[in-house]
Amino acid sequence: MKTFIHALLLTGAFAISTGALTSNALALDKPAGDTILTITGHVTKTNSSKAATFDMAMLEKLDGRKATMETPWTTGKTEFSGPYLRAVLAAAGASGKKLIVKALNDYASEVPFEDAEKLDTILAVRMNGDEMSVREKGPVFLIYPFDKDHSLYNEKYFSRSVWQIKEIEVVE
Amino acid sequence: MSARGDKISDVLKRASLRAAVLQAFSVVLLVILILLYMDMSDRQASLQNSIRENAMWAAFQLDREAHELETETRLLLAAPEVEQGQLKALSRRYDIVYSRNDLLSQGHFQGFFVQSGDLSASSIAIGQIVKSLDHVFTGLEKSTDARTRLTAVLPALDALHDETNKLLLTSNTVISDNRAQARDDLIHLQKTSGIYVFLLTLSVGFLIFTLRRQLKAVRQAGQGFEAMANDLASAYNAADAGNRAKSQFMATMGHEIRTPLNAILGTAELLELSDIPDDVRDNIRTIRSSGEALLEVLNEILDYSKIEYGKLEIELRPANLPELAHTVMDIMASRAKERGNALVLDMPDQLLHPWIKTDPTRLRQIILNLVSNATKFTRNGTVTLRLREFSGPNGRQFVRIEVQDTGIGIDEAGRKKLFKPFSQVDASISRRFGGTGLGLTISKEIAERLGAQMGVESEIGKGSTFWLEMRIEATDAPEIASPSERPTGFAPLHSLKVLLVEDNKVNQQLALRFLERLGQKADLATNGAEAVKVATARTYDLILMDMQMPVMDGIEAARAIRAGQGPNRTSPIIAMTANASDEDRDACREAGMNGFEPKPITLKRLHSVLAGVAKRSETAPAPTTLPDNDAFGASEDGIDPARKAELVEVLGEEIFDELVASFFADADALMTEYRDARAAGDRHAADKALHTLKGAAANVGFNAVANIAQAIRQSPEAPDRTDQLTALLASYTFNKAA
Repeated sequence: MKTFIHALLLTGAFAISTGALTSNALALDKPAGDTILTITGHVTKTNSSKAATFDMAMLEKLDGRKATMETPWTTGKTEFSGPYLRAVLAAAGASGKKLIVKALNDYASEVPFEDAEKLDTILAVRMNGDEMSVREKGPVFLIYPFDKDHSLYNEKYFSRSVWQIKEIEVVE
Repeated sequence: MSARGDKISDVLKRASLRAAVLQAFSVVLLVILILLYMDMSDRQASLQNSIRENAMWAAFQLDREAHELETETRLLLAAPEVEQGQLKALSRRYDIVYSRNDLLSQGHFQGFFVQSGDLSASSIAIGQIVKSLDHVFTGLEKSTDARTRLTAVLPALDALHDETNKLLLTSNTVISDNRAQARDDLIHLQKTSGIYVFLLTLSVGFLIFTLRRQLKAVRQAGQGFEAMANDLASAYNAADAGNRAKSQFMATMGHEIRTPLNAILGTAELLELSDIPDDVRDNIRTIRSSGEALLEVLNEILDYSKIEYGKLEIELRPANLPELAHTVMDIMASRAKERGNALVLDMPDQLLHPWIKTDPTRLRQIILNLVSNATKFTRNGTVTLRLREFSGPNGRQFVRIEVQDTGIGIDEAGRKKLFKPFSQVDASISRRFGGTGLGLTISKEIAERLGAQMGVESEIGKGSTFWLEMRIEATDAPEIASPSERPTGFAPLHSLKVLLVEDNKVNQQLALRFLERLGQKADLATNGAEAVKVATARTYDLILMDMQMPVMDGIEAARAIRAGQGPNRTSPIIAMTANASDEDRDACREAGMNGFEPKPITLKRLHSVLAGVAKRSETAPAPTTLPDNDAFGASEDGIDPARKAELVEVLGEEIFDELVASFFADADALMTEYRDARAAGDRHAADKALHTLKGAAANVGFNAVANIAQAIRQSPEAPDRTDQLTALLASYTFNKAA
């Protein structure tokens, strides 16, 4: 199962990279399903007015990872999966210094751009294999790799771990 | 010193006690450090703190979302038209409230909201209200009676908002309490830490203090030891000096006693030869044997004191084992006979190594001692001297010398004491057989010095076997028979009247001893004038004339005797000089002398001179050329070994030593004389001093000294070599004293 998911993710990554090669100049495809994430601000590949919008399928096609870890907001070991933040930003052609990650309830947190590049941060869209509803902190949850580096397990990164994300604004 | 030792041990004891306390304190210190670290590293508290902060935030967020939901609902109900999008947004608001409520029972906050009754009640109430609203808000946008449903839940939303507000306030109270508690904990921790740090400081202080004291104690002990070492060193030096003085005293006394004893023995021997009644002869024999016993005891004591004094000298040279054995047999024959013992020599006809390198005098001393002991403790039995060669491990050659007797034997206890100084098997032995009990100690000491092993096997009543094993260092027979193998007996000579004319004391002694040895009685004149005077009063068969003398030299004296009317007008006069030039020879002949003997004179030459005179031969003995001094070897003490061997053989070691000592005394005086003369520009006097020095040096065997003295004489204008000569003499004197 795990291998299958990996294969799926790899295929997704391949599709994206070839897509990037062929349709670099073109705008991002329009999301077929409900938009669950919007990248605004300094983005070059857009599919709506000045923004790059993604539905669940688009996000799941991107290169990502699946990780099991403990977080302050969940009970016990929890498995998160979703695309790398850098993959999403690349898909939107985003560049800048920081990200303002905004939640459904207008909670917002500033995340340095390099957290996306240097850390394996993912935009989790599935928890324990299931899509996350708003009630379950969905639809998108920024997850730091607490499993890889325990030194990240502190308030600084807790506050950056925004859930119920609806929009990421890329600031120059 | 004992008091000091006590003090040091006291200091050390206290120091070690302090060290123990120090160690205990260090352990305590370590424990305190570990405790402190554990206390400090308890980071649980800080994590709790962060959870509290987050919980507060969660409560605040929930309250805010509940408020939003209520406000939105009211706004929606107040509006005339309700759009589907607005309903959907309201439903999402509810979802957010739902997720916020969910969070209270999850993750970090699980524990927090159940810790106090109020909090727990609030969160349970909130949970119930949120769940009860679920059916209203789920699928709200699709429902047809949205407005009715929303109106119905307004009181519940109010209640929710009240509850979340209560939760927020209670949380705040709880958190404040917790914070206060945390602060108290912190203060407590600080206090405990303070105490620990205080203890730590105390410990370190004590540590430093104790270390200081420890160092001081160690230093004190060190000083004590140093002082003790000094005391010991000076005590040792004092003891050693005392011991040396004692040994020196014994050596001197021994020598002082031996000289008259030799005279007594000699006289007794002469008396025995004369025509006397038998009872008197017996008495004299008693005197002689007692004297000989005394001499033996004396020699042993002297040897022992030499061993103690570290002055026992070993001189290795070729020695002939069979001859050595025969000599011992000869010497011991009469004594063995006296006690009815048969003395047997058991030795192979042919030895593989008849010549070995050893100290023959000392080896003979050991064997003589063993045979003498065997004879002493055996009556009417057999004493066997056995000599065998054998191969040891690694193909080394050894010789085993055994002295076996059929005497009283020695038991095991006795054998253990045997080689210890002044010990005889038991006191009764001393009474019965006499002796110092030093013989075996000395023998063993000498054997060790010769690299030999000594031991004994014995059985009470059956006899004893003393053995000595030594490694053979084979050597060739020396070209000139070594002194010990030199025929000791010359053809007997008629007793002649000899006048010795010699100014130098060393030469006087030497010549007189040689003459004595050859059975001659000599008169002594210390210069030419004296000689002329004596020669007018008495007739001599031979006049031995030194050449260079104060007052009147040899040439002048010879001339005066020949020219005078005294009884020695025609007596043979033989010149003795270290100068062997043709010029000197001519001068001698011209002065009417009959012969010419180069110095140093040897026993053999003296014998042939005397023999020639005895035959009344008119021709003088063939002049001998002065031996090439360079051909002589020189040993460490500067004395030519061959000459030394000869002199020791003839004179005995003590007299030889005495001779050497008086040579050094003379040499000092002569050097002073020479320097004074040289300073005064008296070339003749300087040359004379050198001449005398050269003669005396050659006589005793200091060839190097003789050579330099001669070299200075031959070229007095050459660079001054006096210093070299002085240095050489000084180094020999030093070696002698060392």
